[in-house]
Amino acid sequence: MKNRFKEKLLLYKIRAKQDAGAFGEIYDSYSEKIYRFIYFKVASEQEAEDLSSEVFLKAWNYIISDREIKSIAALLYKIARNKVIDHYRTRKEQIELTEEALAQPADESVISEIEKQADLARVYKALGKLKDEYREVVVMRYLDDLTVGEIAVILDKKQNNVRVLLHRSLNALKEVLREEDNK
Amino acid sequence: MERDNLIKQLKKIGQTKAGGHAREAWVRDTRAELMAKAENDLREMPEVKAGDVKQLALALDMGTGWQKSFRPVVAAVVAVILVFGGWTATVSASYNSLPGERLYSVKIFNEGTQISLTPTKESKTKMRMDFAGRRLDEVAKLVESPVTEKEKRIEDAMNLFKKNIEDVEKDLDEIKTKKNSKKAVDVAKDVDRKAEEYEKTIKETMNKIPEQNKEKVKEAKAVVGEVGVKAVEVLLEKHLEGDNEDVSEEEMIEKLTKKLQTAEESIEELEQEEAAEGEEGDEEAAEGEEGDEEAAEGEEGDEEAAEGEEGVLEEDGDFEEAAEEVKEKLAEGKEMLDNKDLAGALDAVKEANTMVNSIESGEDVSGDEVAEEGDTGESGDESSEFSSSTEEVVEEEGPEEGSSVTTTDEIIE
Repeated sequence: MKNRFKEKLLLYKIRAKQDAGAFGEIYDSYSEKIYRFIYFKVASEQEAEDLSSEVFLKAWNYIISDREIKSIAALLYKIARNKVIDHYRTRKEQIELTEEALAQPADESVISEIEKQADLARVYKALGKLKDEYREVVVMRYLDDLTVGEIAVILDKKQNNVRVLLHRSLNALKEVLREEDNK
Repeated sequence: MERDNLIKQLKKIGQTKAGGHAREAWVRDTRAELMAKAENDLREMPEVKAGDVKQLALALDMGTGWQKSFRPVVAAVVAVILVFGGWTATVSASYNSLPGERLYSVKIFNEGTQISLTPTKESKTKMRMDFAGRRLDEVAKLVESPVTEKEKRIEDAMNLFKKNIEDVEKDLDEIKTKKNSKKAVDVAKDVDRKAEEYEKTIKETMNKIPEQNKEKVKEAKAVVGEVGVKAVEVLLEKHLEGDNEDVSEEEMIEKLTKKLQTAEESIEELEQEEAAEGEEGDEEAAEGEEGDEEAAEGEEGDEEAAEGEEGVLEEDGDFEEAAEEVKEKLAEGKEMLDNKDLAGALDAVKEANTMVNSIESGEDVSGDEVAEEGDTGESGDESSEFSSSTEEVVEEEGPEEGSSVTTTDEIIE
């Protein structure tokens, strides 16, 4: 949902016109993205599903409250990020995501789809090897098409800091790809 | 790989839904669940037409870019619109506010305005009843949440609830005299149904309510019980006037039977409470006796035990007498109902309720005074054909004290 005005219009429909369908549109636009964002962090289909459902439920409660929402995307990703943090905090026995685990996502169907194009498969696997801070910002910016401003809100950082982070993340990704090529 | 090419690849991955493709069944089921919740939540919110201004302002997001410099102007325009026509603009934002929160007064203000702008008494009454339901929802939320000054906030909500219900009761008196029987019956049925629902909710909430608020909740329960009876009174009036189409005799019998049952359940609950308290009292008395044996000056302890026992017995005696009287009244009501004396049955319900409320509020219940007053029909409510002392009991309690929340009507005035 790139069009910010459309996004705001949906919020307007929900709040002033009591149009539940508008929330359905928001869900349709973001369900896959939020799921993937979480999946990258928990690497378990079940956990990603549970947490994603909670994200949308919390977002709904936020939307019908009296608080201002600048960006639906920022709201959803911020909630998702906090949910994952809470998830690990409450689980205590935090699962350390090894490089191998991240490099080999559980969803085989996705890999096979990407593997049809060798370059995509290489980048996808390299993405899994990035540290969480870098991968998260790359996913938000390039896979999910969020603006730097939105990412700044989600990460509680200044926009310049986000740009620097993106720059470093891409360099790190290139480095991983280079290492893979040299193997 | 070049930077630009890398970014292109990443974007392609994004388009292929890579990195954990969500199961279709999960996407579908979660959507269905969320939509059900959304529809349910929105159903409880009234549509706010005048609120469009604020929502549009929010939608246009005046906080960024070049629009920022126009912010004060737009804010002023919106403020003018709010004052002169769109004052309910902020209401959509205040829907979920609770007593004690910044936007709560906006919510109450909006409700008051909605009532005042509603043309017919019937619609106003229905609206008041709906708003009373919101107060109960707020109490339920307050009870569950770890807010500060919880007791005071609950009390504020209960005061507003009581005020709404009392207004409904006054409305019903007026509606009863109107010629349009169909409309009156429709409202009365709506009030009766909701009163039953609210009474049930209050009973369920009672266990979770802080001790400090219990008296207030009991008062609310009494008032909502009365408004239910008042609604049945309107129905009976219309039925006796000859409107058998909108309210049949069978329906009246059914409603009166239900009211008699409710009163019976109330007195049974009170009896159970009394029995439980009696047992506690006995234990205390027994402890006194124990003290007597242990202490050298046994006489003192003995006296205490005797006093304790006597006190309990005395109260028990009064209670039993009053409870017995309520039961007798209810039996009379049932008999009248069997004989198709509907007006008589309604009087019995009202008298029984008055006695139950008196017992519950801890008033002196010798029984005679209340019963006699009911029998004479000198209720002071001239508009009511059926005798009632209920109103007097409520009125005697006087206005609420210490409530900081301005009521709907006060704001409108």
